[in-house]
Amino acid sequence: MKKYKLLYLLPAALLFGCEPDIEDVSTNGGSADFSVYVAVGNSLTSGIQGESLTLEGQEYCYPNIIATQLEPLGGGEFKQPLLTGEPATEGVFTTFYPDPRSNLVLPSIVLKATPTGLAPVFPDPLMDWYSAPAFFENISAEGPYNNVGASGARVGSLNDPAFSSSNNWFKRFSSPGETVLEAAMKNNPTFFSLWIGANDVLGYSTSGGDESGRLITSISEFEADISEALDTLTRTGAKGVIANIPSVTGIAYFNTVPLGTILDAASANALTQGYADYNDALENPLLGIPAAEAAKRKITFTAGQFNFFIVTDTTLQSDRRLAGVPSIRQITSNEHLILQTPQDSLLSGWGTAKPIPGNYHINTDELKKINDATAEYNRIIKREADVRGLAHYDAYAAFNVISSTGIIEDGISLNGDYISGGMFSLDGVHPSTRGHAVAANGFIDAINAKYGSNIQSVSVSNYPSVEVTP
Amino acid sequence: MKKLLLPLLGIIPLLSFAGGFQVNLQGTKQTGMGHLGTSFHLGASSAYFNPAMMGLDENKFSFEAGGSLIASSIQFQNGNTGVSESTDNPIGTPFYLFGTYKINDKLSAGLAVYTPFGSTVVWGDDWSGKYLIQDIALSAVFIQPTLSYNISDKLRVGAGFAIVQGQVEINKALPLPVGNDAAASLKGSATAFGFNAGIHYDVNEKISIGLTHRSKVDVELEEGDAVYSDVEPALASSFPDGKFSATLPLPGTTTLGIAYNVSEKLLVSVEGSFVQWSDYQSLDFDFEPNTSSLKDSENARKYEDAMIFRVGAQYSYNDMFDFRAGFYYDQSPIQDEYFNPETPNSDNIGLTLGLSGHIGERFGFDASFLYVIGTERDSEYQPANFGGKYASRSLITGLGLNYNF
Repeated sequence: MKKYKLLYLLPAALLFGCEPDIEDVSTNGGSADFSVYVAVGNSLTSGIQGESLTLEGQEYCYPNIIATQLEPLGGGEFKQPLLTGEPATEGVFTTFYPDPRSNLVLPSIVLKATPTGLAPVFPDPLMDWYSAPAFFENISAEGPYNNVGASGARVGSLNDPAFSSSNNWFKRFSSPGETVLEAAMKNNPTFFSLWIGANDVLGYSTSGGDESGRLITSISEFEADISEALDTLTRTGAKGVIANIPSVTGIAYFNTVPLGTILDAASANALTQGYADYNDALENPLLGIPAAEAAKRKITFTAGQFNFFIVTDTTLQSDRRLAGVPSIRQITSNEHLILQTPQDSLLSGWGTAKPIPGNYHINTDELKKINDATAEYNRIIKREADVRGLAHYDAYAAFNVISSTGIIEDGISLNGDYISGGMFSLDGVHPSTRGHAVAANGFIDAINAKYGSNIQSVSVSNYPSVEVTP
Repeated sequence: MKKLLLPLLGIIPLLSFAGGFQVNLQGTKQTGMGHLGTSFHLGASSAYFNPAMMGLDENKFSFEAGGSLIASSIQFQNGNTGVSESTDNPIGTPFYLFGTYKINDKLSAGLAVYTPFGSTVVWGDDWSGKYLIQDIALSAVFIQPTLSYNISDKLRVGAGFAIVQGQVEINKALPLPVGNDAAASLKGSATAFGFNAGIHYDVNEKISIGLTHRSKVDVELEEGDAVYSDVEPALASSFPDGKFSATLPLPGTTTLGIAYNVSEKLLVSVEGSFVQWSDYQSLDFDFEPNTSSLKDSENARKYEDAMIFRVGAQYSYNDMFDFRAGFYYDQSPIQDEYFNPETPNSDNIGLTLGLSGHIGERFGFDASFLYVIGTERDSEYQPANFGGKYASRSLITGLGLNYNF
């Protein structure tokens, strides 16, 4: 009998051996030391989504994803200045009080069911929160923090002692007078990531260009500031990765609002009538407006066809002969209207019966300034990375592919389209959670390529899509 | 030797299938020797293996019935993340029934019921490839009335007409840009037709040759049910429950086998099969109704024709027992760029053992044991940008009964 029993065990043993065994991936850090990682940057780094910061946004920000993947390679704790408390009701700022610590979540754009389907609902008014009065309790004593991303930071902010008082986000986790770079270096980092520069063009762009009153940082200033930041971050021998700036005009924020509309015969005729005096004035021999200028300004509406909207353009040639003629024209196909162009105003005659104000419009001139500056910044970033032997993540190229052809990750299609593209959060500027996962993988690939490490990527399919608020 | 029997019967199986989603387990005797049986007769199961051989049966009536328990495990190591995941497949239970009747010296009739295609793969609802597949169950039952005719003492032919009942159920998560994960469940069945024909020739007293062709069968699912769950209420109108149609091609297979009777007790055989998997180019779903979010989908599969090589031997120990052993190499029809976790088959190596017992003149039983090594491969499904290393193991226990008179 005993023999039989032993024989009976045989199949169980065979079954146990049935599991296929794929050898585990062995991890190594290559020539980099990932034990203390700090992330320096702007709102992309701090985890802003939907024009606001939430605990979820912080959890899913690309630096935190990278830090998690660094753990098997000796990466230590990655401390973030996390928000605490319950989310505030959208649009209701007063819920920050009386206890700012318990309601430290800012109102964000949310996606909600509306009678016409899912739509983004913007807090009213949309709060420019980092320039709002201070309402944060200072948590710098609990630092140092590994993520010193500060929403609104330009490259020049990194070494600016005044930034800790002027920027409410950074003020929250820094001591008075401390710079972003000092806050980063308090960690004694062995490795850093730096993704900065978008605000150096974005502030100008998101507010409509020249009409915004916000300037594009000069190339020489950018060059000096980025060099200084990298001097500081590498002073103690830390290695790192620096990302360049995605094409800001490629983001959903600039490519969602249609540039015109199709008109029926009645509307087209009425509008043509309405602009008849204006068009006549352009061709009035008494005014003597040059033909090229007149052609640029001439307004035509055709029934049944796509008609470009009319905008106010203060950059139109100023000439005393034009005094009294409004500075308006129709948009051309390579220009942009920003996401915050009021939809209800468009429906009630903006762009057709009335010109769209210039602060919602990026014209070709402004576009050129933005693109030229971005190209220059990126050239400097690449040069600095090469000179210093740092890893370089070409976010510009990566995001261009996303915006033009789209990408597929784990069966998920991602592209730059607003909401349906899945790559951007509801503000059309900052990446969504999945967008952060894609960016984190981009950083990881760049680091591995430079330092011979094998940090593992993340599965984009493990990250949620843009939340629908009930 | 009798003691060995107990463990074999005691095995609670674990799993699996052959290349693509073919299931080659149509006779316990044949399975025990590498699943070959095109060129030599082993009972009523000839109705499947080579219909021409039905007339070789010494009995007026011959019946065989049996089934297998398949225990399988597939492991996946994500090529991007290095994270390993594995399937939790239920035990598969393919079965067969064969009956042959010798009408006269020339003519025999038979009926075969078998399941030559099937696959059940359960990756789970929340694994990294959930947007490609969560779980899939395919099965096809063939019912095949068959006739054979002895042209001479040496040459015989046979053919059967197969009525095929095919079933598919697929569950996957929907990769929506907003909201919680929604899931799609596609379930359908269809009846299709095919044939199975063979020739068998005795070269001399020791050597015989068999050639068979089992036809391609297109299982055309019409009016399948497409059901969506966990869809955000605001998106529900984009995913109305509805119908779908799709065609799943079951490939034709041509097999050539040679058997050599080394002695009265020992028989060895080799076989080669050519499987026309290249018919499976695309899995296309036609949804009804369509919405802006729910469009018809074309999913490249681009399978290539594949070969299976088999070698096996049978040793008749005495009047009571026969022992068998075999080996096969089953080539994967799937290209490295189109390797989808829904039917994740790599090149398979099969190692088999078998045994038959005869109880009296009329009754017999068979047992087989098959271990399948799905060799490791590093492949991806490029259209979804998803891939990594795959490997599988299967343990298949087969049990059959036969009765002849």
